[in-house]
Amino acid sequence: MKQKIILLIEDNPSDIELTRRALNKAHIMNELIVAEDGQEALDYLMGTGKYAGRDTREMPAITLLDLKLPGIDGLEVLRRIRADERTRRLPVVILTSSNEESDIARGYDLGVNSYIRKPVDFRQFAESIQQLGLYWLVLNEPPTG
Amino acid sequence: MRTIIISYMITASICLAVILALWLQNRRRLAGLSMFAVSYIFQFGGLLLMALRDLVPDFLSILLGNAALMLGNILLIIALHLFFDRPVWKGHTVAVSILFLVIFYYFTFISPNLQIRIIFFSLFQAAVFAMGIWLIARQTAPQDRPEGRDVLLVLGMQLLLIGARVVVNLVFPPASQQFFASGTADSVLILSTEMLFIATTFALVMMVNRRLHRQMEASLATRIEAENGLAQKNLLQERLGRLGHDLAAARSLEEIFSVAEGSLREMIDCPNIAITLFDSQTATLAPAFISADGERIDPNLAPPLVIDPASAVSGRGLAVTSQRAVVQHDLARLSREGGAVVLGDQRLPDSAVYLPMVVEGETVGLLELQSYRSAYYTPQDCEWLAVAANQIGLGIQNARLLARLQRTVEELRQSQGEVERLNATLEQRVRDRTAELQAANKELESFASAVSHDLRAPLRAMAGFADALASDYRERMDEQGLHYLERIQANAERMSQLIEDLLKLSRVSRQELNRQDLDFCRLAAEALEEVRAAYPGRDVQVSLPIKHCAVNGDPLLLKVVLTNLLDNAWKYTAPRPQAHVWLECRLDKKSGQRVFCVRDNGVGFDMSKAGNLFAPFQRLHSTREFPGNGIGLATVQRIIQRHGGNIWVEAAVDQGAAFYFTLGESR
Repeated sequence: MKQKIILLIEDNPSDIELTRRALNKAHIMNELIVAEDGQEALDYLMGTGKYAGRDTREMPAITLLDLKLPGIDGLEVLRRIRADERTRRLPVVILTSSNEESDIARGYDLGVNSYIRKPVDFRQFAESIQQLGLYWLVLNEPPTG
Repeated sequence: MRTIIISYMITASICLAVILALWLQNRRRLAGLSMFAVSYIFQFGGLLLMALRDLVPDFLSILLGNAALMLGNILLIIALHLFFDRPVWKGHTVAVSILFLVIFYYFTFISPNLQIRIIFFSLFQAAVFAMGIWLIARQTAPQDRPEGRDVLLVLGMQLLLIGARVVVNLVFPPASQQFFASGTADSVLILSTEMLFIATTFALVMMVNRRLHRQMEASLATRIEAENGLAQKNLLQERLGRLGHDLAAARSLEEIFSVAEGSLREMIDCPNIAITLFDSQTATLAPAFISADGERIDPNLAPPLVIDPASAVSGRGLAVTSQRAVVQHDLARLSREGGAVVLGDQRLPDSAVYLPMVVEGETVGLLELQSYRSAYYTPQDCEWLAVAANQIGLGIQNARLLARLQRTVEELRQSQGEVERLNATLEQRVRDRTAELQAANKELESFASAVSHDLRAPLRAMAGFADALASDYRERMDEQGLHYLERIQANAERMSQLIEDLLKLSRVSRQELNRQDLDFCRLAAEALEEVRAAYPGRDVQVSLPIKHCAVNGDPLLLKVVLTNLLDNAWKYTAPRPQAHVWLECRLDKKSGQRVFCVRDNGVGFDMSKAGNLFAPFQRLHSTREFPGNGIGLATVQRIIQRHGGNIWVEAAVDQGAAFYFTLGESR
């Protein structure tokens, strides 16, 4: 069985590094694909642009989506994922600094699977990542096809 | 001679029949006819007796015959008196008749003399007829005289004939005393008498005929006059009805005046019309409408007339005070005597009528009509003019009411328009303000969102990499280095908390207010539970209000208020060996508002330095003494303000602090 992929959509290099470190700390060794803006993320998922020709049958087991992105923002990326036949069932977790209620509500309205706020404290952050990984990569039964 | 007498009799009987027929037909209609009939009967009887001379005793034939004939003549004259409605002299008639009989008797039986008898008889007869002529020619009413024209003629002829008979008898005295043996001249005379008798009868018939004709004409004229009067009355009534109808349709005083003017001019001669309105409070008649010779005159040119109700003498004054029409004659002369200036041959009106316009017992005003004709307005005119005047008064009253109603409606409409305009302005302002607020809120929201994201991200990086250093490079750092790292981490944590609190404050400002009726004690209990949990080691004595205390507000926000105030109380009572916190609720009698209070026996503060206590990040104590970031009270104040309430504080150093607040009325 092929290793489950984690897709991280995040533009802040510090956050990318900290997330990578948190995953390591939690001993989650799955392949981590990082898309640094919305367009790149959509290219990867739809097999277009930079990722043209990618086998799109292979979908990430979990997509971690930051809301604040340059260009196409996080909620728009989510809307497009849900609008596309191939990705509409893709497990997406919003992982963001914002805990604005409006953002949370809009996220759920667009069909996000979870909404996690990034704690400032790294230990809390690492713990969140560990639990995320455990839940989505191990416990959760992903959609087929 | 007897034959002549008999033919005379036949003629007389025919005449009697004619008179009787006349009497039968017209006895009810004309006076004197019965007397005519009686007269003719007597004359006929007299003639009959004379004709029967020698067949009946002379006494009957001569005396009674002549007496009956004479009486018949006298009765004829009496009948004429009755017919012409003149007084009859009965006593004299009887006396004269008796005298006649005595004299006649004397010359017939005591000293018989036919000549004297005939002359005496003729003279007496002449006297009677002369009386008839006198009656018709002088005594009857002038208009009746033509009726008696024929009778007069006949009587005149009788007089002539009698004169002739007297002359004949004087010249040729009767040859014998034998009545029937008289001469030719006498026979001619008797025949003439017979003819005149017929003429008399004919004249009487003509007279009666004329009288009947006149009566019929008069009655016809009366009937025509009556019918004309009725038609005029009907026309008047119709016009009055139309006037009432037109007045009811009129909407303004001006319309009413012109309707009244047109209608009055149709009904009666009134070249000058004036309508004055009466103000009962000032007893003033103010001209409102003047039309002279069909030309409108500005009523303001005529001065108002003040009526003294106690001693009104003028026509107008009397009309107003008595509420009855007053007619004034001879106006032209009065005007000249009163000093009216007359230009050239200008005529002056000579008749006037002042008609009070009375509505429900109140005098509304006066309608004045003037005519150039003398003594023109009659009491009959006044009767229907009074009706017209009252109708006009009613019209005026209605028009005034209508005008008042319209004014009120207009005022209402204006004020409604004003209200609507104000409302529209207000709504526009509310819309503007709402839009402004929404824009501000939106800005605040995006700001909060930015803070939430962008301030946290670098903070997280700092904290994260500090942690990476602390865990991955611990062995390579000395104690001092590790201490610095800890300081970085602690400050990152503190900043994170600050951001969190700031966002809370902004959320408090943006969140929609959800007011409910709540129990203050229950809210306080929930807040207390939270605060006690946050300070597990502390023992604080709390006093809650005994009575149930209602409060209206947003439950979540009010809990934030109480939690913050209690948190402060806990914090600042920390140095006290026995900390005490009071939660109070009372009704302020002056404002009728509920005042809530959270009071403690903590360290308190100097009120002179408390000016900016409720501004964000303002603190009266160092963080080292009492931790905190100065957002709490700012948040509390914001929530109270959003409820439309007030918050204030009373405190002194070491005396504790008391936070009071009110919550505005629910909208």
